[in-house]
Amino acid sequence: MKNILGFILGIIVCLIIVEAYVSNSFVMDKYINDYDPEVGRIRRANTEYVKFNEGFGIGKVNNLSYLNKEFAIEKSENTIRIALMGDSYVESFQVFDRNYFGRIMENILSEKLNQTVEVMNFGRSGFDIGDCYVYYNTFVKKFNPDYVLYIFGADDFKTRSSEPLLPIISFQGTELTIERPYIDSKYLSKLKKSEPFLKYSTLVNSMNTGRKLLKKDYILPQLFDKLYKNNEIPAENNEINNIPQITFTPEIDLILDQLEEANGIFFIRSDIYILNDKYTFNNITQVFENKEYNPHDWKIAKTTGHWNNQAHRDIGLYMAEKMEKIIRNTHGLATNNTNKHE
Amino acid sequence: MLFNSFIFLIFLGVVLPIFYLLPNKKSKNLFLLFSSYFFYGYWDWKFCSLLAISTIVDYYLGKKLFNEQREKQRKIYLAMSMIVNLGLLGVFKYFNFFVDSFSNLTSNFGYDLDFLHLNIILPVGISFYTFQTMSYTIDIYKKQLEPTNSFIDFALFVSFFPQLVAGPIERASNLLPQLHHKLAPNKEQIQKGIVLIITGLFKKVMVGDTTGRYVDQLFGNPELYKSPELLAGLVLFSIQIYADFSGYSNIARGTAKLLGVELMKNFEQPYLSTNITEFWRRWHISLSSWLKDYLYISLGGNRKGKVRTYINLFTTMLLGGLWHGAAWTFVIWGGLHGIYLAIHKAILGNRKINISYRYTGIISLLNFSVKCIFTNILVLFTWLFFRVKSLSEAKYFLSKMIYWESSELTGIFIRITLAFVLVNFLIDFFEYKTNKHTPVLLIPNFGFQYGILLVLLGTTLLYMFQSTPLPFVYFQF
Repeated sequence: MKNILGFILGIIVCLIIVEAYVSNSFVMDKYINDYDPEVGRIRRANTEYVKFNEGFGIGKVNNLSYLNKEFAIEKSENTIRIALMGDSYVESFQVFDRNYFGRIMENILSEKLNQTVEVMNFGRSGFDIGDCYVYYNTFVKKFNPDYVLYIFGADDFKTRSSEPLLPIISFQGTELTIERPYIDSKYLSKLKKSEPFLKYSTLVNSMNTGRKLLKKDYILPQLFDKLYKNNEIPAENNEINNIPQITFTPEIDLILDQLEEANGIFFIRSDIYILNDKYTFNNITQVFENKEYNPHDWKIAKTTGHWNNQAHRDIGLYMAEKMEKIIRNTHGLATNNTNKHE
Repeated sequence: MLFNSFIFLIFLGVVLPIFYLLPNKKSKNLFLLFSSYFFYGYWDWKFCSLLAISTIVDYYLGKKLFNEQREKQRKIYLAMSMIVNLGLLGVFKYFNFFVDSFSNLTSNFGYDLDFLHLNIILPVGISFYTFQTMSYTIDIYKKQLEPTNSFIDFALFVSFFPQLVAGPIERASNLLPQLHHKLAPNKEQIQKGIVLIITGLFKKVMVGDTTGRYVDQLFGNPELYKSPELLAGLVLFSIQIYADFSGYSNIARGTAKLLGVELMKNFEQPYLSTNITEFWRRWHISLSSWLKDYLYISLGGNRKGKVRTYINLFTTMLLGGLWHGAAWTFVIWGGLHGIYLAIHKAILGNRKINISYRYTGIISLLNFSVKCIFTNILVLFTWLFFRVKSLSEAKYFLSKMIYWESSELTGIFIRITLAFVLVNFLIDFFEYKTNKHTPVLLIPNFGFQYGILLVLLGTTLLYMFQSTPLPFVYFQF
């Protein structure tokens, strides 16, 4: 009996120490999500994070539930506010905020325009155009941005959210409506029960992540290392090998119409042919033409993926240049020819 | 094969039951020899031949040395052993370093020697096993050891997998006699072995590998980071290298215990040292004692006057630095430690140092703490040269420390660094206080012991499952 009690006590004492250690040293990922009935899955306010996926990012989900530098909901006078929207490329957990393309753009624009410019990071991993539309209307709109910059990849022109806790778009005739099928769903009630544990224990969150990885494709190579032979032929990466051609469905067309009306400016981050000349898409890939580095190369992690620090810098410069022209035109500001950042 | 990988745990799960079932000494040693070559060959089977060359040469030269009475001939045999072992090291580890350094020099005069640069990779653990086999022939030459008559035992001594790739660098006088008997672990060895493996894995994976992720990023792109962040990176590296190496040594010792073999301790809480001499008695003990016995003493030790003592200390540490890696940064690292040791020796005179602290009051604790912190600052400075890839990187890093720039992330970096420092200190504190690497076994309640070990193992496996194992820092040496 003494030993059983000791065993339980040993587990509790050690768990408390290890939990304090892993959560303060950030050696395991923290749960950075929250649930909001209106917005669905939202980033958890006031949560610090450290990420090692590909690069190295340290930052904070601010009090208003978006990433890093915080600006109040109410915009001050004489301030130009730019919202950045898109997927993980925009969210950019891989870099420090000071090296983030949005922050670089903000610094350059503030200096060049001699005006307060606020750039807000509303990027969310996995978001497609439909998610962006919903997120804009349910969350971003209240910040009253002067410009909303959308950055899309080739796969983002769809409206089928893979996240069960996000509102979805319903397209009826010429109307777009936002629906929330997850409310009262079993998934939500299950999440509500487990969320407190996930929120307050890094170890529980890590166990949850581990549970999701319990798949044959992951377990066997992890256990047997090079003794495990993977016979699967890797799927061809169309984004690299073939330049995809994209035609917009009426639904996407309508979304783009409405986003453009709400001060939307569109960028694409991969080489795609868009068979539609109704909208202007600024192609970010041109930034890397004639550059001697791979913008997706992460040398330390020995992998490829999202934009690296060098790419962020160049994209920041490119977007600042683009936005300077647009802002000067729309705000009627005088042109300043100094280009010291170039 | 990495200790911090699932494949090693599977390997151990296969080797141990077969080993226990084998009936006699010969079959057990033969099986361990085969397992050790498999362990080494798993990385690259081609380099098993180097291991075999070193084994065959030293086995036969050891016998020849022992049977030979003529001093001149004995010296020739010893020289042959040195030439083969140091030759392997020279070709695989130092050739390119000297060629590149020489080429840099000659390029100033218009001669390009880059064509001499060889495209070879450094075989894992070569510095460890060559030093181990060299100690065998040197000991026989010094008539301190008799050669073994069993080739299998000797081959196992050289390739014994728990300590093959990263030590502890064992002496033949300790390991060979154990291999001459039938290996059968007792209950205490099994108990301690399991605890050492679990705590070693926790240290290596949960402290060493995790700090390593920060360190790799901060040192990999220093131009992206500000002064407090880089300083945190340096502190984290000092924790990484200790947790990584001492954790690995614990796993090695634990694994050996499960096979009935006792290996020497390699670390004794070095960051609780009150001076640099004590630090070197607690840090990488198997290497520092090797350097002392075979290099420092051979150079004359402290027998030839004060000045020679200081020079000998400096030279030993300089070469010790070069042992770690073929780069000028390692030479500086070793040189700095040589200077520290020589200065401390000069201050110390003939006094002996006391290497165990006992609490006698708050003043003594304060005195101990201040000395520890001062020693750690000295050591921390040298780690910079150990970690950077080039002298220009070290210069950049130092300039960031001098021209200090604040960071908006100072708070979080302090928090992260403190978490690692405290967990490291907690482990060291219990080991220091109990003078054992298995303090958990001193808890009287078995249930409590198992509870702690279960959480440590569970957390480590959980992390290992979700991450790619980081290679052991000392593999590169």
